[in-house]
Amino acid sequence: MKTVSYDAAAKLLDLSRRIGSPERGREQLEGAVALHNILCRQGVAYLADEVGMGKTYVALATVALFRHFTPSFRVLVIAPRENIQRKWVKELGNFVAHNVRFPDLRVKGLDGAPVRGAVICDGLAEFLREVTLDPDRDFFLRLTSFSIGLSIGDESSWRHWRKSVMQGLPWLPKQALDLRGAGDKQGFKENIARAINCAMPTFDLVVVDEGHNLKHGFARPVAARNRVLGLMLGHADDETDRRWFPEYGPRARRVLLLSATPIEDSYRHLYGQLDVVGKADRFRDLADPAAVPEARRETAGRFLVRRVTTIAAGGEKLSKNLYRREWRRGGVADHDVPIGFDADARQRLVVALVQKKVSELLGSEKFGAAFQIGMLASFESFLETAKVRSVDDEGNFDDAEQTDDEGEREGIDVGAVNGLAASYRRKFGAELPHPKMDALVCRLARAWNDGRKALVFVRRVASVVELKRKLDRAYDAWLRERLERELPAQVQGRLTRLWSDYHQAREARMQTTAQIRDATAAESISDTAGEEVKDAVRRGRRPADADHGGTDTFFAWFFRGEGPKGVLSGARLQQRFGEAHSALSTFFEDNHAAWLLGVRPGEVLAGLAGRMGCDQAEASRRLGERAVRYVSSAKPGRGDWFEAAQAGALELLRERDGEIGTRAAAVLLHRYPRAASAGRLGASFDAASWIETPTFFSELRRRESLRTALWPAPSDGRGTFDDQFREQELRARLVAGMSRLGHASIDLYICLIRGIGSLAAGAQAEQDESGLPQIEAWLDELERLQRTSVAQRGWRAFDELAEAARNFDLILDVNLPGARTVKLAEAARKIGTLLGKQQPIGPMVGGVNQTLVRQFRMPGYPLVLLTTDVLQEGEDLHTFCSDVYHYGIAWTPSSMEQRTGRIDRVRSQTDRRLAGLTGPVCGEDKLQVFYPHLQDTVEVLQVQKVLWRMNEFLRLMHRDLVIPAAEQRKLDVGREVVLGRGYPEPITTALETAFEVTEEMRAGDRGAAEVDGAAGYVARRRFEALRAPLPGLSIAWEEQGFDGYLVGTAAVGVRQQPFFLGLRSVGEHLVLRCVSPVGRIGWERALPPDSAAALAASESMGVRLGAVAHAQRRSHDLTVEDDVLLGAEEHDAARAAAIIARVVREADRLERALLPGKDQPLDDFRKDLVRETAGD
Amino acid sequence: MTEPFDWRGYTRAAGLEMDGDSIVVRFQERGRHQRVGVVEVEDGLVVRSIAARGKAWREAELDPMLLRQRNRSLDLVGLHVDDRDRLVAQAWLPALGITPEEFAVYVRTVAAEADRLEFWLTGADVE
Repeated sequence: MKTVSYDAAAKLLDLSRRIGSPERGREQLEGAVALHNILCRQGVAYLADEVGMGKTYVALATVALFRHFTPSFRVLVIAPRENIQRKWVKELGNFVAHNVRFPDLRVKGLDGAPVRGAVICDGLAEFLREVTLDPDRDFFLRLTSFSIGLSIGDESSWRHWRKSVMQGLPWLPKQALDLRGAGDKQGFKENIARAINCAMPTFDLVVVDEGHNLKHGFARPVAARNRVLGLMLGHADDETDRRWFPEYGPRARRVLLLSATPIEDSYRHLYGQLDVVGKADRFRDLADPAAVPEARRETAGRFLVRRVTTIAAGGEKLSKNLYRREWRRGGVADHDVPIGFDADARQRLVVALVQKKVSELLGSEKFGAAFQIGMLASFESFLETAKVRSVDDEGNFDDAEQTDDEGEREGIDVGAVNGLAASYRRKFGAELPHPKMDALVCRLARAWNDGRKALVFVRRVASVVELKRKLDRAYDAWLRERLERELPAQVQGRLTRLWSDYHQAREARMQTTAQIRDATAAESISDTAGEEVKDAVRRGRRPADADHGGTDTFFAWFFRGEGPKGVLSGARLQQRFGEAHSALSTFFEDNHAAWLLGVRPGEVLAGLAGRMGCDQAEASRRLGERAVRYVSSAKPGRGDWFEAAQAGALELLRERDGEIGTRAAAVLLHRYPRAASAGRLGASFDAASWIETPTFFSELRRRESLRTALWPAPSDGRGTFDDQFREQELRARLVAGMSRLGHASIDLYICLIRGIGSLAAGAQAEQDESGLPQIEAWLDELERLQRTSVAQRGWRAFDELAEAARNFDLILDVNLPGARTVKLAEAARKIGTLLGKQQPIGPMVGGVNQTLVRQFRMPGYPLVLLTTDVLQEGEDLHTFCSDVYHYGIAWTPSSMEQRTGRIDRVRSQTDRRLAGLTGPVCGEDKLQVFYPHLQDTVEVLQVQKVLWRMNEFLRLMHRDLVIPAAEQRKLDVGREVVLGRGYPEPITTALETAFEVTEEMRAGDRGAAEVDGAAGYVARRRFEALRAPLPGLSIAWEEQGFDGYLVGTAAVGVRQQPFFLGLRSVGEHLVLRCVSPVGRIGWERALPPDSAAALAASESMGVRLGAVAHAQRRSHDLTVEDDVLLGAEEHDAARAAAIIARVVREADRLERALLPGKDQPLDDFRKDLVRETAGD
Repeated sequence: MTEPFDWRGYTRAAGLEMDGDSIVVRFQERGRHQRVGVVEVEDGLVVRSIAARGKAWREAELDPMLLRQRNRSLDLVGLHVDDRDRLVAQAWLPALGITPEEFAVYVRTVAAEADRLEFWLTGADVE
């Protein structure tokens, strides 16, 4: 396969779009060219760019380069886990839409979408099924799927696997997956892999994301997962029985591995990864301990590329090690000052006692003075820990694969700590104090006042719950103090009772939760359990998932969900904004008519009359007539009247000439798309008074400074008026949503309650009909906050809203990428969903909660995100967070780097902050990396060990190589104490990669001239030309609505037959496809004989029938479809006419035969066609 | 069609292998082969290859309706069970202006899909 030059790649791809940095885009593209060319020459390549540099995009660009020149190029992507697997597919769509310069019909279709279908497989069985069904798609697997679950003693899982594999390969001899050998789990799993190998096509490229997960290689003993993957890809293997697996062989022509941390502290980890994917033969010296380090590095340099990122700050370029500040001494309050607890005798005694117990354990024969790094429970908390039940149990710590030893997975000190904790609780009636946890909670609790987000990684699963509980209490204390200080005196008595109610509700909830847990564990529901418990257990063993607020914090109980009954809670106030009859229903609206007319509310009718050239009475009459047609509610309220008046006024303005007419039309189209009708009222209403309603946004326009900070007007240079209006509206929805639903809602609540003066359920503000005083009060409060510093008054509504406003584009890019293009109402709904169910402290354990992840990528709640390794890879959390805490330390440098990398990425908060500096960089400006631990405990040894290894990793991957020690996941306490290496100092010289892109990698055979940028446009022109009259056909074409497709209705005698045409490519050739829907019919076996005969007759003529199955296969939508190569352009019309005639004729014939009496028009199929042509 | 289409001449011109009235397509990577027939119809040609006999696809418990689902994602080739109970891959092509290279694309596409199905259902290389 030919190599490509940078110029050729640049003609096809533009990677700077959306990241906004031409330099970064060039760097990414250069990487893609290098990888392409390495893959051509070596068959394997490794992209080891630092975290956050966009490896996914570089890999996608590499694939695009191959596929553009070889359209049949087959790709398999293996992601580490499900969330990243789905992210790949999402990014593929984004990449093709934005970074491929033109539709080449190989990578990018005429509709802007990927030409090849993408298949996300939830497991190997599904992969087998899909790959046999249609191998010519892009497949996305996840590494966890290669860990095949089989239970010894439970044959059902074995049977299930055998059945799945035999369905995919019906001819496979049963002996290949012999159940009589149950017990040989490894052999059974490996034969599953060999069987799948037989069914797989050969992939031109296999991409392994986070390839370091395979570092332990293929040779036994190693995780079964690596063996299964290796055998599936056809690892050369003497044990394969060719009688059973006749076509077993290599299925990966090329392999691209991705990881920012390809090794831990030895190049042999690279060999291990290459060995799994069958590409190690040519790089054996990587695993040769006799080879000199320089030679091994040179070998790695033949296929590995790594670029380091820098941030320009204060006139310097800082590499990662220089713009990060590590807190290596364990403290969290002052840099490099350890956690201190000398003043508290009880804490000191408890720590000493626990250390004594741990020392005794480590001194026992069983553990030999060694323990798994990060897997001592006492390092994280002293709370009682559940016992690990079996080998297949996840264990008490994340990354359970670190050890197979049941005792170690449980935590060797769990028993001792549990005993101490129980004894302490009996004696003192409280939980054991834990100085490290307490110090961390104290530090994190600053967030309510400074708004600084924190990402906290723990190892021990239970620590998430325990930390959250402590932080929730700290948050409650802060919130109570605020409400007591800031709410008016007359509501304080009621507030005190509410706190009491909340404590009772929380207590009751905790008991309920405990009962649910017990009932679930016992697999039975006690007769004494309350109805709520029974109901919750029946409905999937947990309470309903709707936002009922909850009792985690007072915020959740009082400000979210329904809120407590009988009181004007934050939740109740929030609801009023959305109720059409409420006085607050227009609060967060915008008076668009006033804005377009350039007047204030109160002057709108006059302005309208002036534009219409009539007096105000006439304008009022006509406005009423128009507006009433927009009232759709049977019982309209304030919000309905206001909206109808706005729409009526805009309709009148739309009829004016010039700019205002055009703009009114656009606003009407985007913001009030509901078509006017006769209306329910049948008569006019007083729209003239409603059109004068002031709103938050109409009044914000008058406060220039505040507006600039919270709701900046889109600049004129940003697209058309439509684009600018949409942005203005999206910004408004974001401000409104954040004000009502998050941290800012506390300020808003306090402000409005001050005006109302009561917490009584039905209390309203005494004010005029306009609602202006409440709006003014809120704007005054925001202005007051704007004038004062965060240090003076804490992090408040203004800060949250202003931060969102400053970073509006970033928020949309990371959280709402489709919001710029979908309908405004849909975008507003998405924003509402994004901001719903906010909580100050977010827990993440077991799986990825995407809502929480997206909210963490915003200013505001959650301010603290507590997580196990579920967020170690894949999710970007960098946009508003600069602090990462390794509360539970991972045992490998790669895991530590991956975790820190979540907040260290392109466009990170740190990036923005440092780039904005004009003076020298100080420690506080940097990205903060904490390693909380206690001095004078064995924990200090493990932290030091990991820090040494992290330094070694840096030295191996960059210049100034040192020879590292062998990898040890266990820590030998005696050895470490004797060695006494202490803390390694951070490396303070700028990092330079040891694996740069060389000239040879950049050089390529194919120049820019070989990229035919016009081919796509020519194809589109030829395709569009088919709208012209075609010989022998009468066709009515649809004018719009189907991007990249031609949709029409052909006359078949006196009947009609809808169809659509699509253009794609097969190899070098253009292919025109024609699809015509027949209609919905019953499943084949249920069809009467004459219908079945009609279908068979069509097929015997060479006609291709298609089916889209419906639920339970009771029916399906039948289509007739066929395609034809488009060769020389002069034959296009004739070939198109031939294929259309053939397809519509057969479709109509089948409709007559199968659905007598019907002649369905295109409208009957319109929804399906829209869905299909949109690629759904 | 006004006059017979010289598909044998196209076969030779495209460098494809003839065996009697069939075209034989060989797949080097896995050492397999597939036999393809050509039938002239009113508005062009139909290129056809047998993937499996009735006994074979029935033993594999293949639901023929799945073939119609599969047809939706196939390019240039369709699948069905013919009147002799055989699972067949076939393509229709217009004779107008077709080149030997284009003819070969259809033949190879039909052969590849039939061979893939044959291996999936039988593990053998008979057709």
